[in-house]
Amino acid sequence: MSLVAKNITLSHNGEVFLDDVSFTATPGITVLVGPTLSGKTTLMRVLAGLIKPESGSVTINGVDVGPISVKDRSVSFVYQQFINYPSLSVFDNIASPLRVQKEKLSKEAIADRVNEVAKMLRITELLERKPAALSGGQQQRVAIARSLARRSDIVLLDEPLANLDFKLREQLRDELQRIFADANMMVIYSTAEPLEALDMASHTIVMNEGRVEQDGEALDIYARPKNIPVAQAMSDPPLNLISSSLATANSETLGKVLSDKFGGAFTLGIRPHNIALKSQGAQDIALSGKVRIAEITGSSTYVHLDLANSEKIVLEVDGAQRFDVGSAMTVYLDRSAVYGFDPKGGLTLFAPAAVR
Amino acid sequence: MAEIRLENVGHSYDGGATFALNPISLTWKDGNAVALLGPSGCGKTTLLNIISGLLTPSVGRVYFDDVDVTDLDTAKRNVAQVFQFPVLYDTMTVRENLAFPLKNRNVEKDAISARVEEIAELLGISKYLDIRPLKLRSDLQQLVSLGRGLVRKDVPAILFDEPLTVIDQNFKWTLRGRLKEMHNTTRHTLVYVTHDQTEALTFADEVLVLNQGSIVQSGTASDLFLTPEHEFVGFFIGSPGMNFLDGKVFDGAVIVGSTQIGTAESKSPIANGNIRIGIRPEFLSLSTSGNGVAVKINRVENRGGYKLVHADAKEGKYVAKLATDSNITAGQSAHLEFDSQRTYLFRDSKVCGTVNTKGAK
Repeated sequence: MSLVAKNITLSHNGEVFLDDVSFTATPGITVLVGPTLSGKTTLMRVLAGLIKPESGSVTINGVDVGPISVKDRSVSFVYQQFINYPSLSVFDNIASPLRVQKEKLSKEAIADRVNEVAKMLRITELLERKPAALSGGQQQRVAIARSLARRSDIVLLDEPLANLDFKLREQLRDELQRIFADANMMVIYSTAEPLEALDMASHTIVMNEGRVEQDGEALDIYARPKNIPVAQAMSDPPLNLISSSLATANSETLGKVLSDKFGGAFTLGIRPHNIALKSQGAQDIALSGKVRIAEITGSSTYVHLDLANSEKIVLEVDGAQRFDVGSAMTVYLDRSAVYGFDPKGGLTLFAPAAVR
Repeated sequence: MAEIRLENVGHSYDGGATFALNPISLTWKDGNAVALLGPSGCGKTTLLNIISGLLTPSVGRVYFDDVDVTDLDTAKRNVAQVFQFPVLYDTMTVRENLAFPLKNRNVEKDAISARVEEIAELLGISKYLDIRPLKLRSDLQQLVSLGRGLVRKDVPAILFDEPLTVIDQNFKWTLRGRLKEMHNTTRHTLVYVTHDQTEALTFADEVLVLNQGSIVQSGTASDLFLTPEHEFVGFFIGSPGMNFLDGKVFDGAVIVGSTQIGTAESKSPIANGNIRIGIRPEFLSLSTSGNGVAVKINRVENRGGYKLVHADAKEGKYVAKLATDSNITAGQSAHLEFDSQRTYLFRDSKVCGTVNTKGAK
């Protein structure tokens, strides 16, 4: 079982929506991650057959599906905005695609399928209700159950948790992983949230401005992003970016390493949790700044600092700590966690040796 | 700016059969940033609408600085509001949109343009001032909406209803910071509704956690994280939330399954019987001495900044947040130690003590 997208390009009125997109999906979850307008939804619509690309092909199980219409492709689509038929019960909502498909199923077979997916998504006790009587999380479970009932080769989930509460997302994400791990299908799952991609911990494709920027395992991409947009698509909170001159001014070692290796300036990247209030060793890079704000989450505190030349940095420290706005402080960047990017173009020059 | 006081305020949408918001009394100090946090259906939007005047409460009175505003509509209450999705006039430029609330109040021209520039600068939208809003991306449109909410200085309060919903994750960080910075300088009274704990905790001086129409706890971010008073707060705050285990208290001993995990500590003695034990993933650690609960590691997720470790024990399952460099793999046997100060006992969902795990076998 496989899905191959090859050189897919799509533009409208001179605006490019998909730019030479190629990737291969195999059974299991493939995560599409990227900010709003990066092309995730458009790509899914192309895969489903809802829009025709200008050029390029989609091949499912070895067959070019270009000429095959939406309803004859073995594809189910789940949207961000949960869509259910309001006048039908939950049971009938889930059963509806089974009743209209080509391959006819007996009443009993349909009931078996509905009960099976309802059990998977823990909505068995809701089967007799109407969608309006359900919470948002329950409605999205129904929409997902309906997409699974068809047993399509491909299930497309377009930011399926985006409209749910934070806590519900946490729970449903865990459950979806469990459900899809056992199902023999190709799941394409899109999200704008870095933590969701890391949490899914599977095959991940990072999109930006209609292009595939990087394709690999989530944690590998997190550790070794190809460029700045990829690093940001996989970082929450965002990666700090500062100019190298600021950092080398206080670190002779780093300055030497850099001039030897890259012969010039670069953009330094570091994640907030790799910056400390105390020096962990001589290898650290010291930076001085003034506290702009401090945000306490309970488990940690994010301190926003104004550095020299109106550059800024955010660090994450453990626990709830108070900092006075405007006070001066020196912070220490963990050398082993530093990224370097080309200041022109943002390509990664070097990355930490281990996941940091 | 004003102090907001609620006296026994509650609301029922069905004539009193059920209450979407159970009657509450509270006071928010002038200049405070308050967040209303909870899952959908918890009553947080009902509470916000009662404050804005969109909804007249079934019972109770609302005061702004000791003036009873319960029967005043939104316009008369003079509050500023920012909604979940952008609400803008597309026949006007961004500049005119921002100026609109001031023009309506007959502020003089020079003061308007100075204030508009100031707000645009703060939100980083100066370069869009002469564009029509519909030409902008939806997150930039939402920034203009925020600007319109913030532009007037003479409002008793600014109310936000999930204002960052349409904003991309990365930009949320910038924007939250800017809002906080603004609040640090202007000290407006702010009320902010959200289901996102990070937004609520980082933004507000005081967070009210709501569940099923009631406030289960209110306090600072650290209060809610370190000293949850209710099981729901343990679950809802933190990601992932608290680990809970079912156990028993017998003559001061805290027992899970057949193991005594420690002794109960509380102000008043805890009666013998069933109890729930709660500990946050952050307060579990790998034991090097062999003390603590014996577990088998089921799954290790490397999240970059930390490792999330799922462990199975005889008495239940645990999730622990450990450092990225922790040397631990699935299948391995280990011992988990509880932080004594941070292991809580709950009965009828409410906290009733802590567990001293020192010296437990």
